[in-house]
Amino acid sequence: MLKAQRGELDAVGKLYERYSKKLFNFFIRITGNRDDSADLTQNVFYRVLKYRGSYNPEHQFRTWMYQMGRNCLTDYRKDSSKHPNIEDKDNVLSALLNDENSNNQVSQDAILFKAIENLPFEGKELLVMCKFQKLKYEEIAKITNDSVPNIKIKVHRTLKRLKEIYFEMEDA
Amino acid sequence: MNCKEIIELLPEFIEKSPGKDLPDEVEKHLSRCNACKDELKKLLHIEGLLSQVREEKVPAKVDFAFRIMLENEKNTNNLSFTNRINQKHISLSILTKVAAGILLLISGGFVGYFIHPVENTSIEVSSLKQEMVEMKNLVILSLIKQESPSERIKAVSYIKEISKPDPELIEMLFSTLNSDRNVNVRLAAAQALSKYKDNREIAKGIVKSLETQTEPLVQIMLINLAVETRGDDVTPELNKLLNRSDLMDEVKSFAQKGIKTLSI
Repeated sequence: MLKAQRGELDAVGKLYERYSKKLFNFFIRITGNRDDSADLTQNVFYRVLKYRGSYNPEHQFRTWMYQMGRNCLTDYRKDSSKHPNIEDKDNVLSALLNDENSNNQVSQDAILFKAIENLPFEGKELLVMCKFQKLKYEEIAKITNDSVPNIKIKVHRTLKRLKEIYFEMEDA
Repeated sequence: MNCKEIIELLPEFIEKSPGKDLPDEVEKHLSRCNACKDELKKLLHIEGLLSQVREEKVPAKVDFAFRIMLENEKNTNNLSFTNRINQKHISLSILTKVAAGILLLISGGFVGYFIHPVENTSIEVSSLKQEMVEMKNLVILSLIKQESPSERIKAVSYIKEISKPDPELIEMLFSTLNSDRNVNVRLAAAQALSKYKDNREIAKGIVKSLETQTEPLVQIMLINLAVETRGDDVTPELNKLLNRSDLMDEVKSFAQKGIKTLSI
């Protein structure tokens, strides 16, 4: 029993190696904040460790992991509304803007991130899952408990909104 | 198809066939409609930007913290004192000593009860309890001297079951934390001490231990513990750590974060 538990623990270690980067990027594309994303990633894997008894097949793990990630995000947003971060030093955007080696690609990315920041939360989440995490609509539907057609509509709507905001900013 | 319909469907078309041509109907419309052509161009531009965004690297501190969590979980998977009895690989000599001791206690209790039937039985019970405590202490103190690190880790984890351990046991925990040759044992000792961090003396000991530790995992664990104790001695000690040249950057960043937390 002890050996089996140890075996499972090593499996969690392997899952961390496989998914931590993806999960961290999921958070950072949505929050734009490196420190918070680090905390969120840690939170999710803490829960994975705690509830490791329940899950095994890999494709289910990923869905489960994103579901937990979204739950952690909800808690994070509730907290953030109580303590707004005025001075966000670890902001991805400020890092880009302060970059002295700014070239065209970098400034385009900066505008893109700023535009994404201004999207409504639900759309932002879906966009990140679809375009950055490259998840299929079917999986996103499972994660968010929604239907594929609905998700498609929301993503397309968000893309259009993003395009509008981006070009508005670029012109400014 | 009119403009509105076309614009509505453009993202779908881009998604479905990124490299291929759009349906004839759409192509025809686009060739005559600059507004829609512009829309398509912008959408493609956005899609392009999105696909080129590079993935960020996970900060080292997250990897570190996860490793510590995992190690902790492995160590605390050691079974509690009572479950231990059921395990096959319990050291035989210790088991027989404990069994003999318990038998002695019980028989002593019985003999005492029969010889002095009028005595207050609650006094008997409490003295029996005291003897059990001393017996447990003996087991712990003998396990800690074992060659095998896992035996020493077990010793440390038994202490966690005691809500108010003897000074002797606390001293043993600290000397294990500071001088055991195995990192995992030291980590287990730090974890055990965390249970008593509200005790001022123990909190001081935790902070002081930072001076002598060299393993990053232990350092990080102690830093976090020290910050939790919120003592006055913590911030100066953390500052000392920042000035040390032998410390890893990741450890220093934990120390910095700790200083920041305490200054709030």
